[in-house]
Amino acid sequence: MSPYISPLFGLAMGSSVLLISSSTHWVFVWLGLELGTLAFIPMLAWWHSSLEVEATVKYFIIQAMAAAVFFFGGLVMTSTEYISGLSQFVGNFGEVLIMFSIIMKLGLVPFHYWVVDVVQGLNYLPGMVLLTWQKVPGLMVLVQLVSMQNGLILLIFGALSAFWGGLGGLGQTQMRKLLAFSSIAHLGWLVSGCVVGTMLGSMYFILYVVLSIPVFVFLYILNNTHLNQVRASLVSNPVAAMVVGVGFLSLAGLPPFMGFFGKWLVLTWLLNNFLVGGAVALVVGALVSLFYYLRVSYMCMVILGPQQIMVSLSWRKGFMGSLLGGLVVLNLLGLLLVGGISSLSK
Amino acid sequence: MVGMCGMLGLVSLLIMGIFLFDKTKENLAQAIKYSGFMNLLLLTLMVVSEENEMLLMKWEWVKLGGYSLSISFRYDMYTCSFFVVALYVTWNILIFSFYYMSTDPRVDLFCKYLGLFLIAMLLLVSAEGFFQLLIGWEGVGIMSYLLISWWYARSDANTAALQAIFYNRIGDIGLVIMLVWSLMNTSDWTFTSLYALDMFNVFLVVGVVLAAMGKSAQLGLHPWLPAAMEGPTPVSSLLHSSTMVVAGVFLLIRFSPIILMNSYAQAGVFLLGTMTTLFSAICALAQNDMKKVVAYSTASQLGLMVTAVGVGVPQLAFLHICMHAFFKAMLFMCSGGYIHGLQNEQDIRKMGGFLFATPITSSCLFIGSAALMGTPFLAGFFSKDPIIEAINISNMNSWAIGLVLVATSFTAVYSFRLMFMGVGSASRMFTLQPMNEEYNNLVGPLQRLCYGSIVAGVVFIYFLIPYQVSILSLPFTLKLAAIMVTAVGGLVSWDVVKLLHTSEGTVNVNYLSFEAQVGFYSHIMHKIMPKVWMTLGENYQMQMIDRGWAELTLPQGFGQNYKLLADNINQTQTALVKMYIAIMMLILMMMLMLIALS
Amino acid sequence: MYHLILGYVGLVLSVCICYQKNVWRIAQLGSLLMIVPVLNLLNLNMFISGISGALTSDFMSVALVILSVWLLPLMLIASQQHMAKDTGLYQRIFIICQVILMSALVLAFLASHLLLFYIAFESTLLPTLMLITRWGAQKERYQAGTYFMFYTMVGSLPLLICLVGQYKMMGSLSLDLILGGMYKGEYFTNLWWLGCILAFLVKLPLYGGHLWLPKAHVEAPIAGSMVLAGVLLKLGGYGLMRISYAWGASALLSGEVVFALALWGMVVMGAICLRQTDLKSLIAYSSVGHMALVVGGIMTGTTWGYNGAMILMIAHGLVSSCLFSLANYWYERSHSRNLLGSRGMIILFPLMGAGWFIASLMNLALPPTINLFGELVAMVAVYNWSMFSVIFMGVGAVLTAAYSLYMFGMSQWGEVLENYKNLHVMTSREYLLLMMHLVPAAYLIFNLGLMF
Repeated sequence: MSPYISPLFGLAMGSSVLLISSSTHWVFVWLGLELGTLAFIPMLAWWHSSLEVEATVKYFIIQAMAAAVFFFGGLVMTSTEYISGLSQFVGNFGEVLIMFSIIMKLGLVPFHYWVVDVVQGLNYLPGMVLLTWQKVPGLMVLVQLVSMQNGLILLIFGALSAFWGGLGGLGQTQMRKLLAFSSIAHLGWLVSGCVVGTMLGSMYFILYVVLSIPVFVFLYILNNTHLNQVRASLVSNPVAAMVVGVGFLSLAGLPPFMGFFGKWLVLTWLLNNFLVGGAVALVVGALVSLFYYLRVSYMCMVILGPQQIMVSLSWRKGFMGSLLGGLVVLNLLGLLLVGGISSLSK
Repeated sequence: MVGMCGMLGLVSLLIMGIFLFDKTKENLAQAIKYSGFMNLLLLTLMVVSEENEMLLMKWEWVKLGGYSLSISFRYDMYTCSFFVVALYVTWNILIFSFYYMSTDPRVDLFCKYLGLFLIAMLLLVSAEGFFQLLIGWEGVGIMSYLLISWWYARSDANTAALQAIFYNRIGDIGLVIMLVWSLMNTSDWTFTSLYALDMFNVFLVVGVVLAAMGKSAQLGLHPWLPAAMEGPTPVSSLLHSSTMVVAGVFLLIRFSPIILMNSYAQAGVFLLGTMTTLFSAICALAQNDMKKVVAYSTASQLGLMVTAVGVGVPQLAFLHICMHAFFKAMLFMCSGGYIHGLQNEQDIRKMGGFLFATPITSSCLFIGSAALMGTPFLAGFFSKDPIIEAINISNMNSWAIGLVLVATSFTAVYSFRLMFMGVGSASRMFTLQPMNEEYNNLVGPLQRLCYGSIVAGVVFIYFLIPYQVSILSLPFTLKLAAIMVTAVGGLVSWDVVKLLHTSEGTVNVNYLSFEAQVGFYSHIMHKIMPKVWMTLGENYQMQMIDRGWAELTLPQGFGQNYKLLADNINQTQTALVKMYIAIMMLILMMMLMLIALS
Repeated sequence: MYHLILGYVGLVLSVCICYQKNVWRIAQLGSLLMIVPVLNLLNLNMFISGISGALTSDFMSVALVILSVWLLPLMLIASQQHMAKDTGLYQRIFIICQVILMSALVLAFLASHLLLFYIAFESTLLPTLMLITRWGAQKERYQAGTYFMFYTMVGSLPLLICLVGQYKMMGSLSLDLILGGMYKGEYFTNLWWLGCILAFLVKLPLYGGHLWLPKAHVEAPIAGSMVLAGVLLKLGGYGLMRISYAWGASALLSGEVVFALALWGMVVMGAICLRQTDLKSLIAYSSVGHMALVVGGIMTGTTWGYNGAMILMIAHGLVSSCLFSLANYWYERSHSRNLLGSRGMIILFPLMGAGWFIASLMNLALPPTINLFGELVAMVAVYNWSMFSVIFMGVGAVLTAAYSLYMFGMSQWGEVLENYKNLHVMTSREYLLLMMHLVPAAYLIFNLGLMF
């Protein structure tokens, strides 16, 4: 794609977020959402292969449908006064519709089917933007909409997502599908955090983004799409393989990596608000997904394929050395946070 | 006075410990000899001063909560006399082992093991508290394990050693019970506090009896003692006749005040002893291995000692321990001499006519057997006869009394059989045997122990007097019961053995009989018990649970279930957008209807 | 106490930058020097003394910290031989993995805040996982690592929930403030209690959740086996002690189930060990049996129980690690762990036979070793709880003696197989390792007051 066009799309995506965050009327929010989607679509089809185009089209259809539901919900919200019996749990009808549309846009269970196929079809970099940046508009709407009162449905979906994402990834060998299911699981944690508090949701999201970016970038550098290729990468590019392995463990939520911190925060806030059931369900989901995270990091760091010989690692591989330093340190930031526990009130 | 004696006794123990590190084994033997004589001096002093007992030396070892546990020694007449006996006998056995193990390249290590064993045994005997007793108890057990399996490339020896440990450990359950109970109830584990408690408790007594059963090879836990004959002869004579196996009896003697408080406990101990003594005596009749005969004889005498405790004369039991040490060690040494002479032949059916080949050894065999039988005024008489008298005048079960008398007669029977087969009959060994007893290291100990067997009775009876006053007027037959029974047994056996083994033609020897197979006890037990535990270990625990149910339910079970779910989930990812939209719309409609219609 | 952590950081740095020919020396010496700051933690006056920031030490933690710091040089000495053929970088990564593990352990033992303890507890999982699956020798190490991770995580995630819940309930999780005051609410108290201790019961391991242990111990390299048997199991015991202290009297809530599992575990693990043909598997199962008594001691909640469990943990740590290193000497030469084929070792290696003997004797709790002392004290505590338990403990002791001496007899005595007659002699490094295990154990016999 020409370097003159892509900044336009980038600008459009940025302005969509600004639009959503600064508008007071739901029409403009819808406008922003649509703008973001439309601007993103060309970037998805960067490489013009049929797989990418198919993924792009799927993405577009689903997002368009979600936007339609959003619009309908907005209409219902403004024009009717319909109160349902469950309003103390889910708010009024229009809000429910909007919430469902955001769920569709984000890719939360039970509206998650598209995430897997889209991420599988795309290459890593667009996939990364899809899973990180494209959540921002949705989350912005969600945090304004959701509160403790009407968050029950979101909590249920979140717990279900964590579990579903865990289960779905168990049989996968394609890395992108694996990452898709992992993002569904993390999304579950994220929205549970949103239910409890805006700050929490944002913090978890930022953590998730920071964690995911190194993983995606280094998988792109390694050009690994299958688990077997990951296994072979330890010898060819050990540094990148290490980063991927550590990144996956961090995503799994193992201390002392930073991913644990996010999970800990969510659990703390959930238990502070006496939502023990939700906490337990999320934890079960995390346990299930631990299996495939562990398997991937085994492949990256621990196991050699057949006919592979261990050669000595070389520390410097150009710019990757510095990138490694930055990103791994970022991941191990969790260790420093340990010291911050002493500042917890005694 | 007693304090000084005790201190010096312990100092001698320490010096022997230091000599363990000496390079030459002769120095160790010398150290033990001089310690023995010094302890004899101390014993004389103790006797002269006529004091009773003294508690010595308490070092605080560790503080634990409110309790403080300490190491303490007790030095009384039992300890003192046992020190003398044990040291004297060990010295002689060491000298004997210079002869017996002279061709062994590791003979220095052997002597060190014997020395280490001795120290453990003396620790056991001088223990005031349970912990120290346990140190000595387990110490002698482990030394026995090492020494039985001295020729460790021999798998029979390995299994015999493990068997010994196994049976000892079962007895140790009893010791653990005792320890645990005393710690809970007296907050201390010294004997003094237990005596001061002055109460009877079933738990405690069960523990004591179990421990004694295990260590002293009473009926039920007895098979290890004959199996322990796999070890070299010095080991058999030191551990498995004189010192280690009497540890259980010693424990019973220490706890006799408590046992004798309750008539049921007393009766139980008595019956245990009588059954053991008769059973072992029966089995000794049919053994063909010389060392096994002597081993069963040991077991029988141990049963007699336990019977003495049960009848209420523990001091006589202790006296019998001391006497028995002398002649039994000598008997083993005699058999050691024969075995070496016959180039390691132990079967008495291939022996005979030793009187002219090895006169000194044969004389010692004769004197030792005589002492064992209780010939008047030899060593054994002074302890065996009063024990049988005490049994006769007690109010115990008369059937059990009868058993003891029968066992006494059997003592004579197997002793005569042994002597006939070995010494008295015509020679059945191969010609050109290097049968030679011209070794100082063989003859010296034999002679010394011989003197001991003859004289020790008179000497020891002077100060080891039983506390109970014995009845002075006894019917003639009861008084002479032991001697008469022995004489009858001896005469009958001499006749029968002569008849059996000198007649023309072959003799059908029934080797599958009850007595020859030791009551079939080891056949049954050594099949059942290992099978039970090994089946439990492998079939049930390992195969059924560890590799079976535990794996299936937890890891594999979860894995299978989650795989099932994951398969189902992956089947929903059909990659058809129309399906996705359809499902999503469906769910949306359902949820909206749910919300709208509630 | 932060200087301990900084010391380990410095050790990592120096291992990174030193010359290749010095790397093992620097690692071993540096880790040995770490003993010095640890030993001045021996202030055992009262419960939770010596608070400085987030780290604290008292009688429960000091002994275990010293044990873990002592084990690091031992692990490095033991692995020097089999890592000699790896490249320099992998040797350094291996060493750094162990150092990170050790610093996480030290942090766990010294933590004064239960959440810090939790984080350090979890952080020990990863380096151990790396040790097992990366440097193990057979292909079963993959499943071993997975089992290890999952068994522990299944226990520890509920622990996280319960800890965070307690934080909400009581406002603090600092150890000096929560004594005996854990949540005694109306609903589901049993479940809260179970959630708190499940992680530690799996780690110890209690009989029901012990499947990971034989796999992990057998597949790990020698350093992994030593640290697993030596310290990581004790982490479970330590956590159990802390949590039980914090729960106070309500810790005995449903203790009967745990007791039953522990006592039966003692007996049946003894029976299993009699049938093992894999030497390392035998030692691993024996760890389960010993730890069962530790669980019993802690669950009684009495002073004697805690003290007995403590002594037993230290004693078992040293002895089990010693046995693993002894098994490893044979494995490095013959590349076989089969017990039935490895006979007559005492003929080949007489002095090491003495080492085997002493280690086996300590394993079967021979007086006057500290193993016996710990067992006795814990037995008294459990006997106090129930009279009939003495049967199980007695039978367990019998079976322990049986398999310990069976292991000794099978490996040392008998006739040497032909193909093993040319194995090379024991090096002084191996003797040093043996002495470094047994000398502290022997010293503690005389100076048991060091731990009280």
